[in-house]
Amino acid sequence: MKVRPWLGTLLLLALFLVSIFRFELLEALLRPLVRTGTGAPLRAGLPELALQHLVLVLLAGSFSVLTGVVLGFLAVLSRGRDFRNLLVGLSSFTETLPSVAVIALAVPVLGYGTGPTLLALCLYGILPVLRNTIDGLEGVDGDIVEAARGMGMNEARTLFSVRAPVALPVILAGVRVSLIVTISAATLGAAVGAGGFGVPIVSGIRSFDALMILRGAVPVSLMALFADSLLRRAAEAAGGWAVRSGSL
Amino acid sequence: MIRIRGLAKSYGDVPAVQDLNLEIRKGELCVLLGPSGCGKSTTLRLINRLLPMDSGRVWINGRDTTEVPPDILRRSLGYVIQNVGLFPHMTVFDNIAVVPRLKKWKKDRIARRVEELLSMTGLPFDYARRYPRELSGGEAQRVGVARALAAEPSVLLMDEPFGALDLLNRRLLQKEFRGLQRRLGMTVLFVTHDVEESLELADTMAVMNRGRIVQWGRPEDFLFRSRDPFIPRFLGSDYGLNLLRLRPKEETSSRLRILNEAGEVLGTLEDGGFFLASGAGEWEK
Repeated sequence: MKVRPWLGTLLLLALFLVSIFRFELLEALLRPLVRTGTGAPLRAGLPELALQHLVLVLLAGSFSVLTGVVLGFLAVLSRGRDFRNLLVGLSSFTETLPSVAVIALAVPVLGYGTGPTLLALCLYGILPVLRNTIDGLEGVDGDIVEAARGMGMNEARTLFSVRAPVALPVILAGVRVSLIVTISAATLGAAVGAGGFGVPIVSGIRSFDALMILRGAVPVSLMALFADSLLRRAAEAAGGWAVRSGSL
Repeated sequence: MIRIRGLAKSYGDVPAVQDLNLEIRKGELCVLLGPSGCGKSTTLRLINRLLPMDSGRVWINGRDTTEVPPDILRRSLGYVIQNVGLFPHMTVFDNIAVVPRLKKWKKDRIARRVEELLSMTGLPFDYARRYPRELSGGEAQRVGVARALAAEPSVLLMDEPFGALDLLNRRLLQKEFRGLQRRLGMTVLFVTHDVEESLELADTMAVMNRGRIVQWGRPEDFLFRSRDPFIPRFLGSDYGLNLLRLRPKEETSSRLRILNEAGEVLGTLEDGGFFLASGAGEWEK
């Protein structure tokens, strides 16, 4: 394993930690650049908001990844033709729904707080995973699948020991996009009381306090960048054969 | 041994293979020769049941292929395709070991077998650790052949295996494969559209057109006894010369006169070599 790419990942993690535990260090840099307001100070500290945000992301993220991958595998089975088309249609439809509207509409049903936020996050988080899983598995070179079947692998075995590993880099790219979407979309939860980094953003908007907005926006961006970097490294490790043989 | 009776397959209304009958004896290399789209690849895929047949029967070593589950059947038939289809995420070793592992061979037996196959197909042993992308086209197809032979299949099905290679590599692999097939006494059904390749390899040759076998026999038989006008058209006017050039001498009869379509003598093949009739009508060795 090469060390250098990991340095960037670690640097992003360090910056993220600084942004939640020592925001005043960044504040000194940002204060001259932006308009500051006189709004009420935050009731919860950044570390607490970070924890709320992280819990939202981990819950929604793990559900999305698991569901997306499982549905994607089922969809590419030869018996799953209709199911596949249904899923692809549904996911295109879901994409057209504005996430804010989903959250707002879910409040009467799921109540105030994390419920509607998780629903919206899962709905949007599944899409990139599902799409990349289907595309990746279907995109495996036909000759490779033909060879696997011709040598006497059954459909399940061809799927798990040939198609899945060959498609893994594409699937992991979907996971990466999904987590980034989830991390940034989780800020919307603040509007319905789910907490997280959306809280300073919402309160900053209300009080015209740009610095307050940055208090939420900077950690969220750093968290997303860190997650992106971490998953890139993971994809490189998992698709080692592709890197070594020059296809990535 | 392969025996095929009345094999047929259509795609919708379009017949791909019609009433196909063929027999390949043990240790024999039969070439299925024909223009693209004539149904020769479909025939192979019907034999190993990658495609379901509409009607007909296929026996391999006396056993009807529909008596065994398709996956088990395919593990006993080597299958080599034009674009090789090596698994990119596996090393050469793991690629070759696929079928032995499916058959649950012991580890040391697999290792010995892979080593044996690498040397058989003319690859250095340290290639075992390489990935497919690190191989040239010729090397990849050698691995493809090794992989198909790994679990000692009773029959080898090959679909234009050397078609994607450059001419030099193609000729080299053809010669090597011919030697290997002879040495191991393999039963092979080999699909190609290349007449010269067919002459290089075939014990028997079945020429296909539009889903049917037009004629079947030894390559020499096609010279004198073509019943269908398609045969001379497809084999070309230089078939006789290619036959003399490419067939090992001991396989043709000791004294053979080669005639063109008009019945003029082009040359003779005798024990000492072959003699061409030159333009002036003189004999030239």
